[in-house]
Order: sequence, then C-alpha cells, then structure tokens
Amino acid sequence: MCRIMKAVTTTAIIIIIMTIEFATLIPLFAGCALALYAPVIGAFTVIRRYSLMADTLAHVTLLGVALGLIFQPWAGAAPFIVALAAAFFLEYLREFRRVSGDSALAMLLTVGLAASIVIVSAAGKDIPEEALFGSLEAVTIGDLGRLVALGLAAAVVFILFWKEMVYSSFDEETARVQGVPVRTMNLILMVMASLTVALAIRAVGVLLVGSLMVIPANAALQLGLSFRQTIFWSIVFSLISVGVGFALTRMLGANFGGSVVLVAFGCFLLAMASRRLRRV
Amino acid sequence: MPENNDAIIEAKDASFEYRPGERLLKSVSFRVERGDFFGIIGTNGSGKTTLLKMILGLLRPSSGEIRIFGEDPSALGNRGRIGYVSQDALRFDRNFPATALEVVLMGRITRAGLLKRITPADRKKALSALKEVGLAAYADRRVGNLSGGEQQRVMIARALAGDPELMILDEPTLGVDVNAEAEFYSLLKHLNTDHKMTLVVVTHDIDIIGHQVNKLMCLHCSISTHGSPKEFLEGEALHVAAAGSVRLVPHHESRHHDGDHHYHHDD
Repeated sequence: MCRIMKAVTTTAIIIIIMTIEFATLIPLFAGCALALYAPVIGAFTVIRRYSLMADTLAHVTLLGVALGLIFQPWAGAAPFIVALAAAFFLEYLREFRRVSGDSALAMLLTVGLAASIVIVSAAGKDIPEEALFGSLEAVTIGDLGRLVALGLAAAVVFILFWKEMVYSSFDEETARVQGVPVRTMNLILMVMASLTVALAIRAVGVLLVGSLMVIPANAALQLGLSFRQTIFWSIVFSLISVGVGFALTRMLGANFGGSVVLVAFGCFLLAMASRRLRRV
Repeated sequence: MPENNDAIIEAKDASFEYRPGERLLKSVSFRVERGDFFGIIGTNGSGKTTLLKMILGLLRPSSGEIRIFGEDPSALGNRGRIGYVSQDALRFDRNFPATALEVVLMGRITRAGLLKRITPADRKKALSALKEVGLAAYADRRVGNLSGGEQQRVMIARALAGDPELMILDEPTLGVDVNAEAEFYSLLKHLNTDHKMTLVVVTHDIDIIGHQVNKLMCLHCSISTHGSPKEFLEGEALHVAAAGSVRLVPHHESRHHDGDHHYHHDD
C-alpha cells in the first residue's frame, strides 16, 4: 500500500510538472516544502489534544496582517511578530493553567479576529480576501526560500529533540521527572507552529491553514500505526493533498487552500475506511 | 551533605501549604533505606501525591527538608536514578500513536542523554524491560489497545528501562481490575526481592499493600481508636497490614485530636 501511494504521488507530481511551466511551479514547491514539515508539527499538536492551536495562531496572525496594512513598512514582519507573541502567550496560559487549554484557544481565536476587524475597519480599510482564503499568485520566490529555511530549521530541531518531544507529548509529568526540559520543548513547538502558520497563510489563508496542519495528522492517526509510521503517513497525506490540490487549482481555477483541505479530508475518510476494513 | 549510602530518601519536618495558612502536610519525617519496599497510605486528600511531588522535586516543601540520594530533589543531577509511575500514567490518549516498545523506549531518555539518539543498545534494554514484565510479545502493539493491567505493566517497564535505583509509584493500580492488581503487586515484590530495587508505593488500599511492604507510613490517618497507639497497633484494625511482617512507623503530631493517632514517623 505504501509503495502504491508513493507511486501515485510521484506520477501526479511528474504529470503536473510536464504540463505546467516552471515559473508557475513556485507555489507548488512552496506547498510541498510546507507539506513536508507542517503535518509533523500538526501531529504533535493533535496528540497533545491541542488541535485548535494552528487555527488560533492563524486568526491571531490576521491581526498582524491588519497591523501591516496600517503600518506599511511593517507589513512583512508584523504577522510573524504577532504570531510569535501569541505562541508565547498561549504557552503561558497553558503552563500556569489560568484557563483550560481549549478555552484559551477559543478565546484567543475570536479575540484575534475581533481585533483585526476593529483595527482594519477603524482605519477605513478592508481585510484582503487573500489573507482569509489565500492565493497562489501571492506566493513569491522569497516565500519559497523562507518556507525551505523554516523546514530545514524544523528538521534540525526534530532530529535533535525528537525523543524529548515525543515523551513530553505522551506524559508531561513523567517526562519532567526524568529531566526532560518539557517547557523548552513546548515553547520550541509553539514557536515552530507560529512561524509555519505565519508563512503558510499567504498561500492557504487564515481560515484554512489550521486544517492543513491537523487533517493529515488525523488521517494518519486513523491507520493505527506506530509513532514513526504515523508521522510518515501524515507527510504522505499532506503531499498528496498539496499535489492534488494544486492540480485542481490549475485545472479548475479553484481556490488552492480550499482544494487542499478537501483532498486532505478525502484522505482522512479513506484512512478511516481502511481502518474499519482492517478492524484495527 | 555527604550521601549516606543507605538513606535513599530522607524527610525532616517537611511541610507543605498551598496558600499561607492552608497546610496540607505538616512536619512529615521519614527515611527510606536502600532495599526498602516502602508503602505510603492515606485517604484521598491526605497529601500523598503532594508528598511524592516533593520527593520528585516537582514541588518544594514550604518548610523542612527532603533529600533524595542525599541531594535536593529539584536539583538532582542524575534523574535516571529514579523510575516514576504516575497516578495519571494510564490517562494518556488511547489513540496516541505509540507501540508498547516506543513507550518503554521513553524510559531510556535520561540514560541516553539530551541531543543523543536512541541506540540499538537502548532498544535491547527496552525489550528486556518488556520481557521482565511479561509483555515481550506485545512490543509492537499500540499501547492504547492493551488492557489496563497490561498498560500498567508497560509503564513499569518504561520506568525499569532507565535502570533506576529507586522506583516511585503513585496509586499504580488505579483503574486496574482486581486480578491484574494482585499480579501487579507480585511483580513489584519480585523487583524488590530479586532485583534489590528500592520501592516507594503510594496507595489508599491498605488491604493489598499491607502484605507486600516492609515499611508502611500512614499519612494524616485519623483512625479512631480509644486506646493508646501501642494497643491500636496490636489490635484488629491493622491486623491485615501487620500480617506481612510490616513495620508500622507511628508518628506523633504535636497537636492531635483525642482518640486520633497520626502515623508518619519512624520510631
């Protein structure tokens, strides 16, 4: 099954490359770079029962986009600064249990949206549609470079701290007793998630970026495999979603983010069906 | 303070208050020696888990002192010397994508060290820990698909995989059925007698632990009796506990109600 999936993905990618000019492929490469590590971060948030985190970070990042509209020179940096600040604030709320985890996420999500609307409307502007739903045309070669750089950084972090991250996700207290720097691990994960979200919203938009991180991981979880295999399959599902989503966008002129999310959900349904068939 | 080879844990007048004036633990003193099977009993809310958290260095005593291997628990250099099975060990997400072996491998983290990868030797160690608890055949099963008793043994294997000198277990059989519970305690007994491992077990179930431990400490036990502590000890109430050559360690608190005796001190 694994081989067939790989063959299908490769063929799909080759067909797409053959039919489209190279310059228009930048967004696809950006999407693939994202698909290689976003689901890994997503998988960690899902198994920590923190699935709404990416969505929350995305909605708060919209505030950064809004601020960027008003303070033009900061347009590039604002989303990243706001996303990072939100990550630290969420981790603070979680660590000190001021409010329950899901309430913290639900609150910040709406507050982020509310603040963006208030700021933008007060300045007499509109939130650009591409910030909400994303646009492939908005993806530049600079974005691709940043996505690859973040991907490499994420790879280094995961190689260095893999076992610590898995342990703190499974059993935080025992990990702490065994001397795992749980807080640092949580913070690193939040920082990576916030940067990923801030980078990805240009292509897939604030409203859809969360699903890109969460759905492939949930699809892989349906297979009932080991931790390593689950991570591997979440990346495979993510690559399929980006590849097929890109093809749909080019062929039908459909929205990229929306297509990716729908394909990812299709993967989830198939994975769920396969689990039922195998009775795992 | 030089490390006393026989004292694994030493508590001197350790108290804990969540807020000033709200004292949960008051002047607890005891000593766990190498090779002990040390039981701590007490009702819900008696501060058993808080005491464990202080021993583990997750909480600091408000006053008094606790030492583990002669060191301050929160600054303990080598945390691999402790194996810990928490009360919440079985509360993990049943869908968590990890096999029994992957969970046991987590126990090798401290020994492997930060920034180091898990080696084949770690894997071998984890497999032998699984074998020790009788679950070698289940190494590749998803841990969420095992029964409660089996999951509990996986957690023991995880603690064992780190080669600890001391194992601390907080209500280890919570949510495990009676048969599995008996098996579980004989596994602990085996670790204590055959592997010379020092064990500290916290539980509210005196019936079963009384047969296993060699020292028993009762935390904030307000057991109503009309006689003296001596009579109480010789009486029926603790007969079960005493059956397994248990040494009950009575403690006198500075203030206690008539007829109530508090036990948490070595005599």
